[in-house]
Amino acid sequence: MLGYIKAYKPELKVKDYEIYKGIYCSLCKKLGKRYSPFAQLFLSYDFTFLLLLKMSLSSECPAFKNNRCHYNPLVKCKTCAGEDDNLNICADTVIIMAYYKIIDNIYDCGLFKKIAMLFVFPVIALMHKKAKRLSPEVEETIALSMKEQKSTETNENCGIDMAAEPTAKALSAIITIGEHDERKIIVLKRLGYLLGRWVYIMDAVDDLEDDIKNNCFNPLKNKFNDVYLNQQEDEFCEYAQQILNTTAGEAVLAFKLLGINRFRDILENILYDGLAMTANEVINKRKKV
Amino acid sequence: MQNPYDVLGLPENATDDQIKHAYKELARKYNDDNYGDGPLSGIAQEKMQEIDEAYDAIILNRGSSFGSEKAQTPSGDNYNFNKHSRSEYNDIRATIQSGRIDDAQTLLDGIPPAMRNAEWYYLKGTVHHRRGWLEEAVKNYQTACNMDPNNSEYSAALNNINNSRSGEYRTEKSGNSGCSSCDICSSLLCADCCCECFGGNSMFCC
Repeated sequence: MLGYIKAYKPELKVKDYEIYKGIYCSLCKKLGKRYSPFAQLFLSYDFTFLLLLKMSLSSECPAFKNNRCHYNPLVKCKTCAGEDDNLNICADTVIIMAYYKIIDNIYDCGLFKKIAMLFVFPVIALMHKKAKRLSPEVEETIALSMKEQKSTETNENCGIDMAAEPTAKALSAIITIGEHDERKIIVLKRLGYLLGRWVYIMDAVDDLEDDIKNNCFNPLKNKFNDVYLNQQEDEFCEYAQQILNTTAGEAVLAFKLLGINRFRDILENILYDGLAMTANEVINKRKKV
Repeated sequence: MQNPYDVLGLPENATDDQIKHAYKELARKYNDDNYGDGPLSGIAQEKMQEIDEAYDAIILNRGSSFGSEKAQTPSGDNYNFNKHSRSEYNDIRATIQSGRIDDAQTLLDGIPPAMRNAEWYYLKGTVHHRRGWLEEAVKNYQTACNMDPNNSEYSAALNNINNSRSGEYRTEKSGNSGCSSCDICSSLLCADCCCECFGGNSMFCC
């Protein structure tokens, strides 16, 4: 996950922004404590959303306490007080995802990056071992999705739906961990699936040009082979906008059925405005190039 | 049973108007039209029933002071699979309805391409929709509509999924009242009028 699912700050109330930041800081602090300060580098806003959603469903409201930021000791930050299962699971997920991402990069990237990744690898492998022990469920899910991703990428007529499935399924499984209400599980599964799909498509749109140049796999490549020659630029932007909108719209439908206990404004901000704004940003960035 | 006020998300001392408003808001949210025959339609219906019951309970409690005007809610007949009694695909419809999506897909794929009619494409679209394969779903619904443009069931499904395609889902966010370009222009005109009273002039055209 790459930080695509984030809040749209201009529309966020100040109190909600504080909570949002607090949750981000909590996760960051947890990573530092549970793993190492190095682990904090892998944190992204996607995981903040994951934690926010999980906390919005739990019966107990998290309590915040004042703290100082390790990276910038002059800044005070609020973090969750006490132990929280959701926090632990999300921290483990960050590490496990980072681990597989780095393995992926070692195979895919150019020589210079490859060497850099090889230096990072032993450290992350050590942390991954711990995460695997603490959250075997998450590890299994992500390992499986990685395997499935590999096999879909070799499939000749792999469309965008099929290519997005492993990521979508993985998020769908992770998002439901720890939930016991059967009805909520059905809704969460759908929401997770669609958000995973959205992230995957977003990434594919973002990377299309590089992937064409470097001859890497990209599900959009079949349809838009000429994008970097600017032949199909407009058509591509419109198509990207449409598939992302459809996915986000379906995700919103699912979210509406989810009975959450708190943080409604922040979650709505992320799903209604945040997703669309990120999509616009990425697509407009293309237009300028 | 849950406290009916909790279901509507209101405190117990809410006014009658607040209750009506909350009920209408929720009824709009869980409206069957939004969920069609997607994977969450069952849950949407359950939620609808819950708020209906909560609303009824509150009316009973508050007595006659309360005008009982409920929002018109569609009964969902449009989407009821059983309505189509002469369908050749009844068994497949039943399979989809019971949530056995993989089985339904196998059954559908078993039908030879030459025999695939509009309904086949519609059902295929439904299966894809439920799995979250939205692009395939759109494609199949589109084919079904092209083959049988007069069928309301197919066009409803297509409209449903196409609704969000242009980003329309964002307009329905609760309490999303921004400042439109009209507001900006009219405010500017007003400001200019005030300005001109004092001798200044920010817009030379008027």
